[in-house]
Amino acid sequence: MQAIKKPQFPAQTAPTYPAMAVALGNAVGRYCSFCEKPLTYRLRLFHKQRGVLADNAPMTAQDWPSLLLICGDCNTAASTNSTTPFNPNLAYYWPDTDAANQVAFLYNLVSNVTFIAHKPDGSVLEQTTGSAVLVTRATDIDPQTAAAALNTGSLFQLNGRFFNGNLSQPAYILTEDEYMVATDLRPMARLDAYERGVEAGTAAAQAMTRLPLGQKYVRNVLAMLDISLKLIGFHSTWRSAVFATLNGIDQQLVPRIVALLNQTPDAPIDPPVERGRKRLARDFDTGMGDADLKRRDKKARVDQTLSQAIKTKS
Amino acid sequence: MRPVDMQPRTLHPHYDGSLFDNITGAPLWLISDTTWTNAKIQKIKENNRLYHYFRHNYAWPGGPAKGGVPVKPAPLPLQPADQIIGAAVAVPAWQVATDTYDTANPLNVNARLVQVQKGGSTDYVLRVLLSLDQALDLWRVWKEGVWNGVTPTTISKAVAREIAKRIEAKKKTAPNIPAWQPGTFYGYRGAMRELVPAIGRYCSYCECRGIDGDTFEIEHRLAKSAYPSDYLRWENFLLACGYCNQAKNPQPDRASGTQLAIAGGAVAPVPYHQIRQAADKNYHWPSSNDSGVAPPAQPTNYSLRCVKYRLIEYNAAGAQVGQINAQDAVHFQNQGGDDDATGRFVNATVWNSVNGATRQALVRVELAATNPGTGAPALDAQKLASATRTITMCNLNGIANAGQDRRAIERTHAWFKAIEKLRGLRDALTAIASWELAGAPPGPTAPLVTDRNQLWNNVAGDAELSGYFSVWLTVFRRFSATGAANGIDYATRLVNALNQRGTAVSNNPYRYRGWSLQNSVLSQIPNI
Repeated sequence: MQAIKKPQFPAQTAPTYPAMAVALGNAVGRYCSFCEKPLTYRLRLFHKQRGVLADNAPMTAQDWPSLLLICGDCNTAASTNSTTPFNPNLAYYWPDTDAANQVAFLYNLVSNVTFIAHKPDGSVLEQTTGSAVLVTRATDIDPQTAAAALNTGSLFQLNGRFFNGNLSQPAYILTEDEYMVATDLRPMARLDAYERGVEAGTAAAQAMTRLPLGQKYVRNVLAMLDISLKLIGFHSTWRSAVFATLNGIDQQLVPRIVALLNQTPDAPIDPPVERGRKRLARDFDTGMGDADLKRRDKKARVDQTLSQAIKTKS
Repeated sequence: MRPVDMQPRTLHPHYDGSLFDNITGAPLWLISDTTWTNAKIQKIKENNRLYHYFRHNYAWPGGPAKGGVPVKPAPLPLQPADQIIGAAVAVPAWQVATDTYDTANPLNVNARLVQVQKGGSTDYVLRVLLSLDQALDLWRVWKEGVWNGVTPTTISKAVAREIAKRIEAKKKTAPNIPAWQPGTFYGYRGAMRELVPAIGRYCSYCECRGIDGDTFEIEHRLAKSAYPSDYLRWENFLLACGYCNQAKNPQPDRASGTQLAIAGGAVAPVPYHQIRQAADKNYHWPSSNDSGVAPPAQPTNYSLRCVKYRLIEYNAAGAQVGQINAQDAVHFQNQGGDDDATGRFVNATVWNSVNGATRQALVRVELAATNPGTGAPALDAQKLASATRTITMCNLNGIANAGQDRRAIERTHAWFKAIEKLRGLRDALTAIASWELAGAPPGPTAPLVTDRNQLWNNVAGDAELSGYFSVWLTVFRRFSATGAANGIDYATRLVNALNQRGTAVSNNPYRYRGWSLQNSVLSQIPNI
């Protein structure tokens, strides 16, 4: 779940559900605030005080600070959650608040996940083992934030409605109906994002081998990967996969790419432990968010610093 | 509409394999009736076997309400004492005097008579051999009684009634359900497990990516309420997003099918099969084999030629200004921007070749039915009309609920994303080509193949993520002519890269599949 910087209520925006959804999408990007899924099908709103909203629920301009974009799957999870239902008196980890400056959730690929579907009589319909990207809470956040993150993760069931909640023995336990007609696509889509992140990391590493031939090419490839990121959403997962891939190839690739994107020499950075990776993730994301053309305008200065860095490296 | 090839599937019968006729392979219905010639069918028995279909809450149109209780089939096992003691004896086939879903010929119902021992006495069991199609046709006849002046014979009606009764009876009580067999499906909802791997999790009409679990559905080309004989027919399935499905439902219905049939020369009262065929033929379906009368070895689908994608400009009042010419519409200077405040258009930067500069415009990518230009005027006119009907039927150029229905808006974003991606791709490929020409290190040829392949893989991956396959192909096609001069046919390369990705991974739903039509896709890629 990545931090969201929400602007003031845009003037001229009608205080209606659809208009505010469009305005919010334009302002912060059309992604689910909770699972980070791209909202390419429909814009839905979640209200931090009122919870799940009905279609076209009445709005006023005062609701703007409480609104977050939400996907259909997170919306379904929150609205059908009988174990940990929405409670306006609880503290939640909202991505548009200061609390989100602390990275509360981590996204890790796990390979020993059981997928089991049951028939109505309880017998096993199918059982397999596979991979999933599981959302876990970070351990280096303050207790208040940790408690709020627990509430948010539970409300939206970020690992999917059919996750057994056991991180040491992870399993997805499906009803026959869910097995036949998947209704919660978040785990599958998150795994897809991870796999595409691996592809992106591989492509970035390959491009970096061409840096001696000119940085324009590398920047261009990175800009292309940035488009991929915008299309896939699941930014946190995608970044995790990119970093894991790059680090697996060469521990120096990430700092070199960050340096390239931030237009600074190859400066020393934190070692790629979890905390460092998270910070890098932010830098990386911010850097890649810049427009390609804007970077090219500053080409001369970057050329100089990078050629220095490359010389140092070689 | 992206052409897809549904690939013929062997429909799973009502029963599993052990209830196939061991001579013909046809599925069996067991009808015990010592006086069957008088159509007094007393009961139907079936072995204790899986009843695959109708397991998921589906209420037949006009059928009894289920009260929300999950519907499960009830196996009606042969009693332990019921022993088959005689070999199957073929009995004369009888004909059901009604037209079937696809032909005016009477339905031939084959049967075998089997002698069984029942509780110390000998009885006869009539095994009626019905395919799924036949069963559904008979069911329809029973439901409709007399259809367009054709009165079913007593026996056929009685058989149909009995079958329908059993179908509904099976839905009421809890079953002892044997294991589901991979590769089969039950109930039309169960076909989702076969449809997604077959054609990808994309709407067959608007081409959006099925990203939310609750808004993606199995689509019946011919509405299941109006054409129940196609309720479970694989060829009648597509996948659709909620907005397209909602707009379409329940079209084409019986009335519109009848009108189309009469317009095509049919005489009232129009037989069912003619209505059905008219409805099927007079709309454009992404899974159609459009080659004409005789199916060729390589099926052809004109989806990409029948429907073109164009960038349309609107003014601030929401009125259409007109189409932006093809050259400007895909210019590399174009940039997609935010949604406009109404959620109906996209603010974009668009090239204006008149003054050689960009300008801001409110735009939307829309579909236009076109004459496919296949060289057969009559066929072309029909295809043009069919594509027009489908676009209207699914409201593909409309927005059902501004701010929520994002089909047209995302289609437009896909347009600009494709341009942006193509721009990066072209620059990168140009750089690689220049290195090769210069013989630059670290090597002129083999390693750069990897670079190129990864670029194309990345571009194809984005086309998968974006959805709106036809939009991507349209944009890429615009540069194919130019690119071909440099040895790069962008659209063809994109199709090939998508095909490679689609065939390389079997369990990822976000791949474009259904590609045995690939050859015809390549020749049909539109040039806007």
